[in-house]
Amino acid sequence: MTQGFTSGVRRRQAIGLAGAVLGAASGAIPATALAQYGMGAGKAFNGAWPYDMPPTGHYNSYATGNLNLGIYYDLMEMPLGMYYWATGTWMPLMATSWETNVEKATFQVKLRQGAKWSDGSSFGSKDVVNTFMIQKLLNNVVWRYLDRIETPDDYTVNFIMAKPTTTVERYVLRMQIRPSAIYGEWANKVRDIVNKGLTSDSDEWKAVRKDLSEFRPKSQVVSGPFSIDQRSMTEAQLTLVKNASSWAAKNVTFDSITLYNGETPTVTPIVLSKEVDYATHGFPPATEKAFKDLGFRILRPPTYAGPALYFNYAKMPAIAPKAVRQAIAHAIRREIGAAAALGESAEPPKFMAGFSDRLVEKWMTPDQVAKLNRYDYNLATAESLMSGAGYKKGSDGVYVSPDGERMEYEVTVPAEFADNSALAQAVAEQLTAFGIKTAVRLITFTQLTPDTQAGNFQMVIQGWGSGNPHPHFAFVQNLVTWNTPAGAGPAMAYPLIQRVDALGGEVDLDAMVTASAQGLDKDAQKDLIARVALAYNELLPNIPQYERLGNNPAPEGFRVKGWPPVGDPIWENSPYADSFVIMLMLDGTLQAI
Amino acid sequence: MVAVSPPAPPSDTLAASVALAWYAVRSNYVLQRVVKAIVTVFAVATLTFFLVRLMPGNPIEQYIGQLIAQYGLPYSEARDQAASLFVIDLDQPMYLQYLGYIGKLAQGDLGTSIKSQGVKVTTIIVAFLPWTLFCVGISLIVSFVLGIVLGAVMAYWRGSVVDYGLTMIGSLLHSIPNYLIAMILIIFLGVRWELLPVVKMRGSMSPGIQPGFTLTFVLDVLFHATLPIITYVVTTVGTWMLTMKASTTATLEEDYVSFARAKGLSDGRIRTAYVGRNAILPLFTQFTLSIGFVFGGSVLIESIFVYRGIGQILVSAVSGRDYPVMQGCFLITTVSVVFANLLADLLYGYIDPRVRVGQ
Amino acid sequence: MTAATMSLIQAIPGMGALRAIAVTIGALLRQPSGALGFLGVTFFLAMAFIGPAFFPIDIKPKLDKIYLLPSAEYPLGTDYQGRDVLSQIVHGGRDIIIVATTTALITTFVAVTLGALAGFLGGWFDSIVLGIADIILTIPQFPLLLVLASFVRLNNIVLLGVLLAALGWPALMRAIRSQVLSLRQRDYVEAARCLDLGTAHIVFQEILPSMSGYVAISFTLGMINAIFLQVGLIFLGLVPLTGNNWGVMLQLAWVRGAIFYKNALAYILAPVIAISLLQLSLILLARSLEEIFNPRLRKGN
Repeated sequence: MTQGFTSGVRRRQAIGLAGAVLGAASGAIPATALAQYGMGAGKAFNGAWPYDMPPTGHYNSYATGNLNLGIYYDLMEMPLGMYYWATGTWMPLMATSWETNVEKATFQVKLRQGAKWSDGSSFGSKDVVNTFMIQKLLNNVVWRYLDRIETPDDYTVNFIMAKPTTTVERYVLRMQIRPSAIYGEWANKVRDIVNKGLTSDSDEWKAVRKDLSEFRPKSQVVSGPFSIDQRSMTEAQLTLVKNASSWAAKNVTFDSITLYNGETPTVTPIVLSKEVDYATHGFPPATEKAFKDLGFRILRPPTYAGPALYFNYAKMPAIAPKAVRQAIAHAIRREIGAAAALGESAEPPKFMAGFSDRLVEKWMTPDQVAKLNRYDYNLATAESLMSGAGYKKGSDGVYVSPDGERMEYEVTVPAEFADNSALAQAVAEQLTAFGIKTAVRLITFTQLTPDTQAGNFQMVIQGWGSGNPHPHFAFVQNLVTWNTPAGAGPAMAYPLIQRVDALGGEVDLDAMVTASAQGLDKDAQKDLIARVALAYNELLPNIPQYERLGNNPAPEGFRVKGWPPVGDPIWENSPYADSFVIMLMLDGTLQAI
Repeated sequence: MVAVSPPAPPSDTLAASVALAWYAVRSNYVLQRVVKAIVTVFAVATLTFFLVRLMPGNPIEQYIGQLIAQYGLPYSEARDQAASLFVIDLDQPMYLQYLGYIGKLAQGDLGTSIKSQGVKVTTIIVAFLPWTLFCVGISLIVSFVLGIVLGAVMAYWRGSVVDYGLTMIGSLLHSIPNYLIAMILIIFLGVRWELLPVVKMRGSMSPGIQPGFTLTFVLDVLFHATLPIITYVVTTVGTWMLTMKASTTATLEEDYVSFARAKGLSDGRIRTAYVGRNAILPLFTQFTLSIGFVFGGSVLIESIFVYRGIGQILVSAVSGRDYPVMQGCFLITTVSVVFANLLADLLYGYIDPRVRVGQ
Repeated sequence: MTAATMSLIQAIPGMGALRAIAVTIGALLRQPSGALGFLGVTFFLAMAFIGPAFFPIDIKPKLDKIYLLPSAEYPLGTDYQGRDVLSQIVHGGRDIIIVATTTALITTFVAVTLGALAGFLGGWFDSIVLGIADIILTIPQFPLLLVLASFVRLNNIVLLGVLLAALGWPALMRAIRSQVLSLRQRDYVEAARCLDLGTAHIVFQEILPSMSGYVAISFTLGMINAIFLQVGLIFLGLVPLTGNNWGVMLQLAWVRGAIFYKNALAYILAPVIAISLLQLSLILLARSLEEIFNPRLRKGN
């Protein structure tokens, strides 16, 4: 370490001097000034996250361009808790316990006592209620279900629901709590306008929102074990320094966290030079190979989402019978597209339930799971489904529908996302071989959302699933987001009232999906989710191709030790929604060397 | 600069002053140039105002796209988040927005950023521009001086091996785009031969170094600017060399040089006092003009080396559709080009008596 | 040489252009750098337009063959998806050359027409054309292209060429204009004017032919600039181009981190060298044309 450091300094000096020849000056760099160069003091953890430098970047965590630093935000303004996806339990942080009172439709949270903010003030219920008041100003989703918040004492907060739902638990507990010392006055302004009976479309409301978005706190006040060291910030990197006064600091063995700025291309060389202990960037297979050559461990956390093949029912009437879509599902070997797109980081779904395989057995009984059609690759089944529906192949080997529609289509995909275009290529080749002539149509990624919304496609590769532990959100994504009633345009135009044999009749999918997240009765929700999943599995309004896994390099032994072995339940966590790195750091599993 | 006598004052005073101003402008070369410069800046400001707003996508859509790409959020969640963060009115009629913009511009107000709301565009430019000026300024001077010397050498030893070799090198450097040179530097110096710590050289200064007129700071800044400067110099020196060679060759054939030779003046004196000075003159105008155009080149270089500067801020403003910041960048670059042109025009008259303006 | 060329053009109007081209190529081949440039450009044209017939493109991802070093099977190695790099290089020049040619054609056509008319007519037409040119010249090209590129839809390479030309014509136009201004005073133009042959005839029959050499040089320089700009835009990922194109190869190599992967050297250097060689050939060509058409610039002795 010392050896490498001094030789680094010497080399730097030499280059600085070479640069100085270009400029004018010459001399030697006092070594003391370089003490902080390239690393924080003490035992460091090095990560990577893109950010903007001031004046664009700033400390107002409610406004765009902030320095929240993604997953590392949870180490600064801490949330009430973080979630263990495998077990469905919580890691208590600023809250210590909570419970739902079904009769009173109230979610009650008990806060951590004795916790302090970095400015010395004590943490308490006022901070929580102020945070949620400002979220009301910003029309946060949680306020669709909340009526009001009460604080019986300094360490108790009652969330009284107007529309009771179990999803409020996650909305509340995952909320990062901001310091009243900085945002208290804004909460008061919100109280004023709310008390006046004003709504979000009033001018006063908008004015407060605008003022808040322009508010620039001079410094950070944190509850967590780290805060940004302003002096360390450069275009290339910044350092988070330890806030020893935080209650959460005692388990954390790192003294500082250095984050490198930039997207994948700029971060890649730093990871290759062994300077980064963990990065969430989506690295292409080749870079991953280079990481493996260096002996780095690659973590593959599930994202609970991935690409699916969507159809436009308005533009391809021949796709309307479900038998045709079932045939397509049987005719595509999903492993081929997955391997071409992301290699080991793509996992084809086996249950085809519409939400991640990892969640299926948590929400459905073994009986229900057994009813799911797994759509294994089987051309004979696919062909008999087609002929059963009255589709015949023409002399050119392309299927023709009973109405005379020749099945020749385009699948739209953004050109810039190499994984999705590789998938589209694989799907098109297999469909063409099956008798549905398919060409890949590449568009610019910025055009994907507007074109999908406007129904400007025949088939398109779009997302399925959702990074939320409740399957309700996956079905919203699969059935509602890109469909007529919700979107601005017609999108896929799939009617949500359908006959489902598995459910013995006609069902309203939209109503079922909406109801699946309502109420406080978890068993009733499970029943609805299972019914929606069976319907989705039978109808296949779109066909999921794979679930995307992360490929996060996590080299061990440079600065960090203690990554849990493969198979540890922590690896079920979504890498963005509840970062395992942060949780492992907070509980002391991940340690500095 | 012959003064034209003003016309007899008409009764209407407003018309009179307009007429007076018109005559003043028509008759004064400097004023003429200044008015033209202002008109150009105004035209460019107007053009870019509408151009950036006609770009497909808007700040909110771009932000939603970023959330989806970066965090894998489903569209509906990304849309809700974006809606709660942005407080901008994109529905106001464009001509009203334009009038507002021009009105503020007249008072020197460039507006505020959309991405980082409330931050003045001028604040952003002031924070980023000096780095571009520093890095590009040094490169420009080094490249110019080096090019002049080598170009003169080539001209004096025309046809020699030195001339042939330098011409080949000059053509080669002239032909390779600067971003390719930048990549080649990283690949060979950084990755293959590991001569330079390219990773540590990213950014414009090292963390923890305090700005100030200290040797540490200066050396650190030069350390980080080394690669961008080398890239700029390598890609522009070829052009200066070849231009200087052509210019010197032409000067060497002038009658007064032959005359000086005939008079028996020493070679050294002819080279510096007669040929050198006159050969550099046309290049000087080019030099002034290139000051204005350095911003164009900074975009790619700053992106590759993660160097702080106006090019980098422009690329991020374009991808986030941050209209006011884009306009600010264009305005500042346009103003510098126009100003450099103006300076070149006016200075040239002073330096070269043969073309002194004003007749 | 010039005199011979010009007299040939004037002597046999119909055959003029072809003969002049033949004579020019002959002159080019007699100079070492001219021959190099001419052969280089010919090579790249042949590779881009005939080569694809002999080297089928390899688009099938082969995960077990990622970033192979150059070998007999893959002379330039393989890319991040295990595809042959050589075939991508052979196929990758076509779009770039098409865009560059489109740009150079439009630039030259617009610049010559407007420049000649502005120089010859003078007056308000001259002022307007000059004013527009000045404004376009004032905005730094590359930043403006960052914005304009967002209007280019996928695979619309001709539009990209048009955009590049929209920014490229003013410089050439001004040069043509000043040439016309000086030619205007020549005797034969004066004579034509006295004969009242009409603007179109004088400009296009009397003035422009004598500038054909200059136009050929400008055309080449226009291509060089267009290649520089378009590859830069593609490299930054701001022009949505797909398929096989040296710029896209560079961009993917950058975005996908190949530049930092030692085994990927052949993959990343291949497009870098291809672009550089094409540019160098064009520059040598332009420089030699300059020496042929402008004897004053010919080497001292």
